[in-house]
Amino acid sequence: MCQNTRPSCRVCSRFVLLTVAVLCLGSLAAGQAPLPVYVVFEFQEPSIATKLSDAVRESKQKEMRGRLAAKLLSRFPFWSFQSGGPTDYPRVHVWLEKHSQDEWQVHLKLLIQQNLPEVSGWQIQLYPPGEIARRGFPSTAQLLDEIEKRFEEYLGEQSSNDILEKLEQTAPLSMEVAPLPVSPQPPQRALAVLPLQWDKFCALASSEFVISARWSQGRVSITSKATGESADYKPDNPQFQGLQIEHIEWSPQTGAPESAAGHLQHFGQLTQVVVRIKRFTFDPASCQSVSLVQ
Amino acid sequence: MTADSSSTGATIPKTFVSNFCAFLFLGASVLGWCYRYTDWIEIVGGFLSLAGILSWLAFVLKVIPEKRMEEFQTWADGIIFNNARAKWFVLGLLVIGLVGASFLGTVEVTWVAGEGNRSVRIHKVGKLEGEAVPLMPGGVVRSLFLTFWTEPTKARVKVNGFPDRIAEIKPWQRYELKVPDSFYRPVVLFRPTVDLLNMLRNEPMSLSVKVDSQSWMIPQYDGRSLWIGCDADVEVPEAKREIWRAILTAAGQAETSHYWVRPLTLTGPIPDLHPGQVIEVTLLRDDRSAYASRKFSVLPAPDRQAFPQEENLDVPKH
Repeated sequence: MCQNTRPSCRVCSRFVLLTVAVLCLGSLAAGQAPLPVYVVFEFQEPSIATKLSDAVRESKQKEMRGRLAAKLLSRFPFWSFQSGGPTDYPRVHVWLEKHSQDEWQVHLKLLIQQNLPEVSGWQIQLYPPGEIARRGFPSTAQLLDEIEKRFEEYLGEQSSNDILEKLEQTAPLSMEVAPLPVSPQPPQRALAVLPLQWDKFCALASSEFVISARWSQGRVSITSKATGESADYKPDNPQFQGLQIEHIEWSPQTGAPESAAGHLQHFGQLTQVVVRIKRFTFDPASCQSVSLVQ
Repeated sequence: MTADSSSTGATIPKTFVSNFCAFLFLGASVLGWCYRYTDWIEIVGGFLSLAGILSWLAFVLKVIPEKRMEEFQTWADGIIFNNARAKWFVLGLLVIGLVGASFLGTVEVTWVAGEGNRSVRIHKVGKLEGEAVPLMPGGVVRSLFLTFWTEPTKARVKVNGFPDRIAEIKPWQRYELKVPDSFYRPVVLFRPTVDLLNMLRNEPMSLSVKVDSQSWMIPQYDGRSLWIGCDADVEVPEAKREIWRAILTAAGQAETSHYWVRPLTLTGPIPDLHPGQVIEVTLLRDDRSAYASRKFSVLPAPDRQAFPQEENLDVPKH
């Protein structure tokens, strides 16, 4: 209801929900790991980048990639943020820039695919004008600490919802979806299971997803919604409890959207599947049931 | 020895005239030499004046009766001025003085006008610094050195606040130096830019300075200015300090001016810079690879406007 009234209220709501989801999800255990989003950090600004020898610079950048990935992971636990290289996609690229009046900023951009422009970019003020003049440029160790701290603060602010939105829209959550057997009795629902371990992804139990896939007649976009229940993944060879979803809408590349129920026979033929979050809706009840079981 | 009966007569003996002239010449020469080459003229003058030690002599002479005084004068006239051998004695003294003076030269430091007070140290190159001699505005300090035509003595003259100066002193030479103009010589005042200063304040690096084949290393260099070619007590000209303060104030960090206005200097032998020499300044990372580097040539320092030669080093831009 809130999200239908004011955009700012919607942002606020998402921020709160995400915060709670983070608390509920905790750390992701081994099992079904979410898909990776790589993090690359480069000093880039010549005055600081060249201050370190090649070996030390690479070591510090690598260290920083890990530290930033950990911060992103703690904030957006639906993806597996990890240290990456400049050829890894999707990638959150982080670097330093010096602006006029000696203002220093941390820049971020989200890149999904090679040769495609960045999805979006963000700037975080690291040192406002006058701060470096007052205290001098920090030592490299201190600089890394302060970048991490400022980065964490930014992720804790409501403005970081934009990062989440862009990740939802572009960064795949899963590359697989397993259709559940169709009930012989009506109503026949297009149910499926995502390979997202229920006890870790229960916070998504009421969220909506968009699945891009290829079928016999081209590409299709499917809108699905989590049912609030878990199901065996895979149905024919159970390994763990996955997140159960129901396909709602079938939108072929050409043509008008149709009800997913009309394509029950096609869900088993989907290839090149990419699952993304369409709308995150926090479902605390589902996670409570997980807690009780545990 | 001949008695001079004609001292009251019309004619003056030649011996007297020549001896008198020789004595006069000897005294004038000694005083003239002292006046030109030493600081002693005031002392000698004071000694010879009636206000000096001779005033006691005058007092004593007054006690002596006139008759006895006349007898003494007559004796002295006979033994000194009317003695034919006295001129050889005087000539001998003159020759000894001449020979002695031919192995002496002096350095003269003059401070025509200014404010405050300074001190001067003048010593032979390679020897320990002597005591500092005060120098006031309008004052002169001289120092005598034993020297030879074949190998003139090199003396280091250091007036506090200015670069030192090496004076090559030949016999009979009065090497004149005027404060401050004579002390402006090629000297480089190196400093980092504001950006580089800020980069180094909290994380110093090593600074390498190369002048021809000589090199110096300053570990933990934190962005201070640096004299190359003179010692650390040389004053940064006020005009330059004002410009630097303005630069730092504009950058919002006036409180960091002490990094620049009190320069460091190179430890060990200070290079004697000459126009055209190439200096290379390099900031080194921990692994001794170069972070930022610059080469520049030493320029002439014809006057105080050109002193000192200021050179900067900036952070890498690319």
